Amino acid sequence: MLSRDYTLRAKEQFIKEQLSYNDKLINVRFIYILVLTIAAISSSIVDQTISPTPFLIIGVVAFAVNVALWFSFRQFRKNTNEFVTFLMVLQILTDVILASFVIYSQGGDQSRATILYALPLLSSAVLFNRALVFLAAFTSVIGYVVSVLLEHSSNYDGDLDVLPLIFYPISFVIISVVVYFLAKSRSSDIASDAYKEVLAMLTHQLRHPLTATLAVADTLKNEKNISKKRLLELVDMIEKINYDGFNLVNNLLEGASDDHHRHLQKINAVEFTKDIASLCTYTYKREGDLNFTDSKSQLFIKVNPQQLRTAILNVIDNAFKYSDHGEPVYVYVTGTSEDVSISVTNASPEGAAEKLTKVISALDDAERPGFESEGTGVGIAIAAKIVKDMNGNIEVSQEDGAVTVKIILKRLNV
Amino acid sequence: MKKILMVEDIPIIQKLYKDKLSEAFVVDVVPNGKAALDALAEEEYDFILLDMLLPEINGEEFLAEYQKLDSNAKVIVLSDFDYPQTVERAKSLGVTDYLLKVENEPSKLLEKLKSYD
Repeated sequence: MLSRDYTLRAKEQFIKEQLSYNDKLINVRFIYILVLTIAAISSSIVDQTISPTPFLIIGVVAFAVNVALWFSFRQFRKNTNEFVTFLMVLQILTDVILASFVIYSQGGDQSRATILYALPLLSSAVLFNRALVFLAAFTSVIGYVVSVLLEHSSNYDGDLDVLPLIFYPISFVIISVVVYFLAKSRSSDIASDAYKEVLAMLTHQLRHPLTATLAVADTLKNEKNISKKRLLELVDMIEKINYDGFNLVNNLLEGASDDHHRHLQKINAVEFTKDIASLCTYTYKREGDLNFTDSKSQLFIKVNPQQLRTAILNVIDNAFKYSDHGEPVYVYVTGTSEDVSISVTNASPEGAAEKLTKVISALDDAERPGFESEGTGVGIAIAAKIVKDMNGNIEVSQEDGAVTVKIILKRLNV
Repeated sequence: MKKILMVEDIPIIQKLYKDKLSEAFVVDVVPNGKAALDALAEEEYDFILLDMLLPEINGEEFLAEYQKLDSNAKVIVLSDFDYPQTVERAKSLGVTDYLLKVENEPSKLLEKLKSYD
């Protein structure tokens, strides 16, 4: 879980960094394309050309592509890293094509427009990817060489000057190497920051039980004339704190473990879930609040019991933790010919289901690492990870002020 | 008596700190940044004790919103999250102090809050 959370956090930081650089680049590109378009229009007017020149057409097309990319970045900025990278690659290729066309239309090897390749070469740094940085260099070299050769073959005006064909491609490669090393240095800074942040989040979680224990000790030392009732209340707190601490350690161990394909056992989901639910009611001293219903038949599944125990415990524990004494918690174990479902329902405020769904979906995208969410975060995120690793599914729904978390696993037909 | 708004989502921590701080302050407790902003719209407080990692609106988001409010309450972060960049950002958003819970048990925090008067 730690390495997974670190990967997600690093990914999230990379996207944030890419978008931040790209926001600046987009403005530069916008001005650049605007200048080119104005130059094209001026050139058409000076030449007294009535029909649009190819230069004008490409300027307008590039301008439209630029606006479309600008819009896409803003519209889809919460999309995946892959999509952001795709848009950036598209942007770089557009710049290379545009620069090559300008070279072709402005005299080939005689053109001073070679400087235009600086934009795709430098902006490739934002991709933080060696292959893509060198891809930008490679396409720039190909674009330059092809446009010079094409221009020379279509407007033959003497011998081809070979020197620019060697000098500029080498310059492009040198710029890319420099860009790559600068990007590499920045990317290791980002990765290091992401690692530190995840460690800080983990430390924060581990400090909870310690902080609570210290606070209880402080209360015991400083409170005068402690009544027996108050003493029992504090002892209950210590029990609860220790339970939370053990749960957290178990969660971290189970989350980090890859044991779901090993130690598989055939278990009856009904009895198994009932035992775990009873443990939770005892811990929360809420024996009267549990409503357990089952399908009155034996529902067998084949799983790693230790891991499933952690998953079910987290879901039921979450329901008891976030409901008050006297509020019922419903646990149902039902089955179809294919599946076994373990559902836990408790009264919850509006929006609780969305919050839980967000925690679970954080496993599938880089939106938010699990450790960032307090309370509900770690337990449900670990439960979802375990269930998904078992090729099962976890669903959250809300109806009439109650949230249901459902674990669905494949039924073993015996 | 001066008033404290404690923004904390862990019930045991809420209770232990509230019990002690209530000896010298009136203490209201809310579980997240959104509830804290709602409470500030209704009441005036002298201190806000703020955890940083919270559901709904977290500590940093709360601080950014709090700056827009017309409130004179001193914001003191009380958290176990001490990632240096978060501490820096919180300070730049105007918090009076950034305290770690693990180093500030209820009685120690009570004395500190009295010293801010």
